[in-house]
Parts: sequence; C-alpha cells; structure tokens
Amino acid sequence: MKKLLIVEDEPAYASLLCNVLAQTYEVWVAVDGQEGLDLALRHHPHLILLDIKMPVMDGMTVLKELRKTHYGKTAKVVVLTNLEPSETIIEQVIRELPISYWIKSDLEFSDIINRAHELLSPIGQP
Amino acid sequence: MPRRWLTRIQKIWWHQKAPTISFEAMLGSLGVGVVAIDIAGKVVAVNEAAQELLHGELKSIMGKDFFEACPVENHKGQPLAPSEQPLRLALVSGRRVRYAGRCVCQNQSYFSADFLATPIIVGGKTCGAIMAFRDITQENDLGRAKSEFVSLASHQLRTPLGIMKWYLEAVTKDAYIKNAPSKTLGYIHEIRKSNERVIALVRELLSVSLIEQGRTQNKAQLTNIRELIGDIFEEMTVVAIRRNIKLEFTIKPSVISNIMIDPLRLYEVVKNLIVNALEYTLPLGVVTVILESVDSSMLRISVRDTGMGISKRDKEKLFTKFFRSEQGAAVNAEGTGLGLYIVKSYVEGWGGQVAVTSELGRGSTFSITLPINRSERK
Repeated sequence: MKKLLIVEDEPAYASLLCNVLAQTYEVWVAVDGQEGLDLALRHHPHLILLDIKMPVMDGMTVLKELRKTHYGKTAKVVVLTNLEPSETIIEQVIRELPISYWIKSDLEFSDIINRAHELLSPIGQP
Repeated sequence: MPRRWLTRIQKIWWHQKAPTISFEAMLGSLGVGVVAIDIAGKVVAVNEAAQELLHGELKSIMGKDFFEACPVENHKGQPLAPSEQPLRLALVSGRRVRYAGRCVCQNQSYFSADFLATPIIVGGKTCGAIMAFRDITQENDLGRAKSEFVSLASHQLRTPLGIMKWYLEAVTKDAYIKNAPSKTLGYIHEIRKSNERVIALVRELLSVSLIEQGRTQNKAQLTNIRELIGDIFEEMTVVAIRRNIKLEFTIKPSVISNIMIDPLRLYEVVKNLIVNALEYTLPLGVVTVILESVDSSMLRISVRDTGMGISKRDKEKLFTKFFRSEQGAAVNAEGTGLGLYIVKSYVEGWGGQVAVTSELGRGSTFSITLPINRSERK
C-alpha cells in the first residue's frame, strides 16, 4: 500500500484529507513541522502534503531539512497552503523543488484528492 | 503676485547670492551621498553625506578607484562586475544609470542603496561621472513588512474560508444531503456561492495590494497564446451554456503562437474580461473572443459582447479601483469593482494597453494590446 503523509496543523483540513485518503493509502498526520519531518524520515512516504505556516517548525524549513537527507532528496512533496508565496518562499520553492504549490482555498477538495491519486498512481509524474 | 514675477524675483535673488555660495558648500549640504570620478575612474569629489554613508574619511576615498574603495553589490550581496558598476556604466555608456542594490562601506559593513549615476559631459566629451546615492534600508524593510502583512492577513482569511469550501463540497456529496429537499439544497448552494464570493474578494484584494506595492511576481515564460485562450474558452463555455449565451473564439490568420508572458496572470486577465462579458449579457446574446495581430510588434485580444453596454460617463472610470457602473451594479450586485483595475495594472505592466468601446443597449468590446517586440518570437 502506498504511504502518504499529511503535515497540517489545522485539524479541520487534516481530518477531511485523512478521512478520504486513508480509504486508499496508509496515511500519517503530523500536526507540526518537526513531527512531519520525523515521520517523513521514519516512514519514507510516497507523497507528502505539506502546509507552510505551522508551529514548532514551518513547512519551508521542513522541506529544506528533508532535501538534505538521502530519502528527502527525491521525495515527492506538494506544498498545500493558504499562504500567498512571498519572494523568499518563491526563491526557496525554486531551490527545493516541491512538485506543486497549491493554495487550499483556490482548489476544490475533489481536485486535491484527484491530484493526489494521480501523483501516487504507478505512472504518476510530477 | 503673478507667477512670472515670483520667478523673476527668485532669479534676481539667485544672481545676487549665488557667488557667495560655493559649489563645494552646496555639495556638502546635500542630504544624499555624492561621488564624482574622472575619466580614469578616480574619485575627484565626495561630499560629507557620502563619507558618512560609506564610513570613510575623505583621504581614504579621494584619488582612489571608487569601484575598489566602495564596490556596489546586487541586493543578494553578489558583487557587480567592474563593468556593471553604475558609475563605470555611466562613464562608458554616456547615459544615466539607475540601480538599486547594496553598497559596501569602507569598514566592510553595507547598506541597501539607490544609485543614480550620470556622465559628466563637457564640450560633447565625457570627462567623468557623478553619482548620487542614498540609504534605502528603511524603505526596503517597510516594503517587506507590508508584503509579509498582506501575505499573512490573506492566509488568516483564507484558512476558515477554505475549510468552509471543502466541507460544503463534502456535504453536497453526502448521500443523505443528496436526497434532501430541493429547498435545503438551495440553501447549501447559496452558502457555497457566498463563500466563493469572499474567497474571490480576498484573492482580488491581495492582487491589488501586491500591485500597489509593485510586488507582483511577473514570471514570464514562453507561452502558447492560442492554447492559453483556448483553455479559458473551454472553461467559460460551460458558464455560457448555463446562461444560454453563445460564446465564440476567433483566431485571425498570421497570429503568432508563442510569446514571452506570465501565463497565470494572462489567464487571469483574459478570464476576467470573458467573465464580465458573460455577466452583463442577456440570454441569447453573443460573446466573441478575438485573437489578432495589430502589426508585427503588437497583438490584440478582444472580448466583444452584445450586452447592456456602458454609458460614456461610466466608461471613463471603468478601470479605477472599486468602481461599479450603474448598469453593472443593477444587474450584478456581487461584483467587487476590482477586476478591470487588475486587468489594466497587469497589461500596462507588460507595456500593453487596455481599451473599451461601448454603446448603451448594444454591447461593449474590451481589448488588450500586448507588445510582441519584448517577447521571444517563435
């Protein structure tokens, strides 16, 4: 079974994503960046949905730390946030290469789920 | 007192007083740093403000090569090549050079600065260059703080709105709700619609705020314009069918396919025009999107509708922020009046123009012209 990690501090977002995606994948949920980084390095998920604004460690720091590791270098990460990217974030996105940068409030929930399925399908390409 | 007399009096005063004020004294009193170099690049004049900004003494700067004494870096702290240093560039090119970057001081500290270097031309011959510069650290910090604030404020607003959006979507797909009376489904539909309105408003306010701070990220890339408009056309066809309006797309011959432009912003611009046209056109009306070349250097995208039209008085204010035309507000109370302001700001930012022709009761045509000469043609 494919593994998926949701790093999201907002329980309402996390539980809806988890409820639906757990029907198809093995899902972990982390409620802050540090926990997200620990779970990612322990379980090596096939896809990480990563929020940015979180307590303890923010998402862009998670991404930076992740990319320093052997697993993290090529890990599939989608930034899923409500934060309009600042110039600093854009520069980091270019450097750390997540697959996508999605604004939650701009996307239908079903779009997120469908895109996650596509990325986790055997031919799922960034 | 007539203005011309005032000017005359000022001139008389200047002629009387000027000999007593030396050039050095004026230079010294300036609040901005000023450095002048000769043709060899050696510093020949430096005012007190410059010495203060550069943490250097007169003797440590005068007669020295300014590019080595106080090099200019880009805003990331990477040193500019000697040939790109603003003073050198002004000296070599013979034209005025403006640059915003960092200035490295004599004590190896640095500050963000705005530079304006101008060649000194005597008798048609360049004999040196002069540069004025000022510390813009505070301005930069303020701009950054504003940008961060807008980014955070939009995040805080989007989070509850996004949660409502997702949960409302989940609710409408729930089997129990699917079988609810149509009245209940209608209520849910209204809640979803209102939520979408606020999300769109936050998005537009954010765009306006970024435009006003000059912080819109223009990510130009080679874009197939036929395909891009085709995609919007496809998306909007669904809306047109729902409103019983005929939506057409015409590509005139000899239109180039690829231009360098930010595809997301262009998508936003064209979609905005089509959404407006559909919004203000009655059922059985026609909306036509036309892509054509104006000449070899410009292309035009027009959206023509057979809608209610715009009065001459409203037309003048149409592209101003928060403006709603009388007819527009009567038909669609939900509009924010920000869409056309955003369209104009983006298009003019690309060096293009927006135009509108309209006749009350007959329809309107909104056009944007975009320069191709600034783009890579293919």
